[in-house]
Amino acid sequence: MNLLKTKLFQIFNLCVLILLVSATSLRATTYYTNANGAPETLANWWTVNNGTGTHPANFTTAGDVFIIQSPNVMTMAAAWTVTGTVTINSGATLARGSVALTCGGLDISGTMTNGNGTSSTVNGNVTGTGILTTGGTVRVFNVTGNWTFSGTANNA
Amino acid sequence: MTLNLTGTGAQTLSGNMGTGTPTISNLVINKSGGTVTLGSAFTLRGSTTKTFTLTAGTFDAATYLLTATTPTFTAGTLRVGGSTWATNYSFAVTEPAAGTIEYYAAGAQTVNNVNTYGGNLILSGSGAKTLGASMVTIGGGLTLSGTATTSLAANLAITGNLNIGDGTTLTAGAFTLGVTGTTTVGAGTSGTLSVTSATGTKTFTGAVTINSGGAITESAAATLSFGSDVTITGTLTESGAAVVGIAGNLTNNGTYTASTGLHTFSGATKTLSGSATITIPTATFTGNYTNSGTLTCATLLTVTGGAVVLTNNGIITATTALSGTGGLTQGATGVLYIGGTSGITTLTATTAGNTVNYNAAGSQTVVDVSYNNLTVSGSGTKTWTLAANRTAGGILTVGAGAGLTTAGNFTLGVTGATSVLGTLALGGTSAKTFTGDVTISGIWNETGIAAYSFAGSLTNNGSTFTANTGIHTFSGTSKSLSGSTITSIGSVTVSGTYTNTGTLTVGTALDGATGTLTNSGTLNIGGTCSIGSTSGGLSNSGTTAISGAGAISTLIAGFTNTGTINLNGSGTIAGITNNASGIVNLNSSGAITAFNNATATSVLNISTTPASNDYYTDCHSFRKQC
Repeated sequence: MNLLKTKLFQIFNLCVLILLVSATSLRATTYYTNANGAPETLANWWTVNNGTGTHPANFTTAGDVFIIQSPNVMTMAAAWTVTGTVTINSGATLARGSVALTCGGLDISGTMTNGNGTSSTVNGNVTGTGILTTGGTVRVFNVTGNWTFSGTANNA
Repeated sequence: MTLNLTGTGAQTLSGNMGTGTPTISNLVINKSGGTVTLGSAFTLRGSTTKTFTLTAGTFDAATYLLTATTPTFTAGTLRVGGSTWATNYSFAVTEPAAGTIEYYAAGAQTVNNVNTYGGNLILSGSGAKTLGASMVTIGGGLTLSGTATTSLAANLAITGNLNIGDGTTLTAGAFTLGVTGTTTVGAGTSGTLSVTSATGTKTFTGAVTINSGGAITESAAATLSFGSDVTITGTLTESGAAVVGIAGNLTNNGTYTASTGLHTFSGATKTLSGSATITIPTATFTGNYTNSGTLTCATLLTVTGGAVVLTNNGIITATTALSGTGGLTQGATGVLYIGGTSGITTLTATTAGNTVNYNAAGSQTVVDVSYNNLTVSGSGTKTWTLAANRTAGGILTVGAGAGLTTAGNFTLGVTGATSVLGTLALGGTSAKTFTGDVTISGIWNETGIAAYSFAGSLTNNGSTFTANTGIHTFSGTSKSLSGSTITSIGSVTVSGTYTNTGTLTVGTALDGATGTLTNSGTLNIGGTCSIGSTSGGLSNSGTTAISGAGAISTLIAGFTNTGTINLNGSGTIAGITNNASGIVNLNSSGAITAFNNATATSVLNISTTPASNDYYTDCHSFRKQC
């Protein structure tokens, strides 16, 4: 009988452990920049806003939030696709250049610059009160959510 | 920069973009579903064009202003929540066929002229939606929903469909209204198309459906032209002498109040139907129609055109006049009431089952054709002058208070029953044949000398029965002669088998070599009697009175008696078998031959002197009473 109780206790503990691990892995995570760099590089993102913690395993986990902190300037060198949302804090900059940005939401409280060609696709809302600067001839925002950005947009 | 709003869900577009520097110069709405709603005023800014493009989905300006200079509208819906178009949009659009513009505010709105309406226009929300005075065409449809109301401000042509939803009203005043598509009024509870002026024809090319609770109501006599089907489940009310044309089917399951004006039915192979009566004072059919409902024309029903036929499988009442160069054909279930004159060129009423009823309160002329069921009712005499041999293939009914008078020397045959509650006066010298039972409760008057044939029973409870001197042949099998009124006929030939339970008086001759007449009532024979001279015979269990000078001659045992036979005449009577309880009274100077007083209870009473050559066989009881 004691042996059976021991086995059941072990099975229970194992289940609890599995549930805890699963919950942790499903939880949305917020990542921060801590220096200038390319936003499409996983190593430029940290779970703690002081450049510590862990890096994201990918950019495709739903619900993850990627915050560009002031005064960081994140310059895209290649297309960057984020399933979660991107936030540009006040004083921070996302320089999209002429490569494609796709994200699940975009808050522009800082500055976002857009070069010529390609487009930005936001599969969610566009918010913020920052600065949206565009340049070149092809400057398209594809938005499937709300556009409530009320900052300043400039054609450079 | 171009802002392209896509996706299938609801989206909000808002934001103060500043005023000094060009920002978003192009706004594109291309949504497979859902609505983009302005959350604030939104201004497109650009050094050259500021383009607003709607290619799919819905854009709702709410109560805000979208400022652009170059709109491109290829499909989708533009919604107007402000009091005017200009409240929401700084530009005018040319609406495409696939486009929709909707004024939806909760309150009054002005539907501006600034746009070209090539697609649909929806007026929803509530309050009055004022149409622009130069707004004369809608390339698509016009839909009213919510509790919106609107009035024509000019002649209006709607290429698509007109939908007047529950709770809404479209008022068509002194302007033309044309709807090429379908028109639907109401969706189950209400909705009104109100025609308030006699000026301006209202033309509905497509089908018109007035649903339960919905109404098309005229308060002035405007011309209505229905190019296709009209289905009434709600209410259609016409005014005054409004002229109405219908080229499709007319179905009335609701309430239809027609004008006194001319209603022309011009469709080809169309129908009139419905559970409610279609009452139209004046109707003219210029195309072939079939009625399976109830149509009443109080003033004039006309079928025009040699090849035009109105077929009746329902009920048609032509109260005053039925006319025209066309034809009216009665179907098997058709009932036609002719309440006045009937000058229609062709009336076809021979199909089994149908009925034609001349029901005026006064005299009428019966159209000289053959009928199936023919009824005369109302009052007055209905005169039928036969110009050829005619039949009533069904039932002939002469209603109480009415009369049917026939004339013309052509045969008349009634296949079904004949019921005379009024007066039937039969003229002409040609044969009259009544195949079914004849029941008389009124007056039967044979005014012409002609042969009459009866194959059914004759019940005479009438006030008067006047037979002509022609031979009346009764040919039915196991039929009866009955009734409380004396049926007096000069010449009767029984070729079938009849039982008389009433009073039959045969004044001249009772014949029928093979006939059988069983009298349990009263039989008066005033002339000759040779019935049963070959087979059959005469049997009496009632009272048979033989009078006059005629000779009664039947087969011996062909005249059996268990009742009473009174021999009151002077002729020779031969062939009586007086059976049990039979009484034969010889009361006059006649002679009896071939008499068989057959049983012990058979009685022969003689109150006069028999002729010397009289003989009696098996006389069980014999009394000479003088």
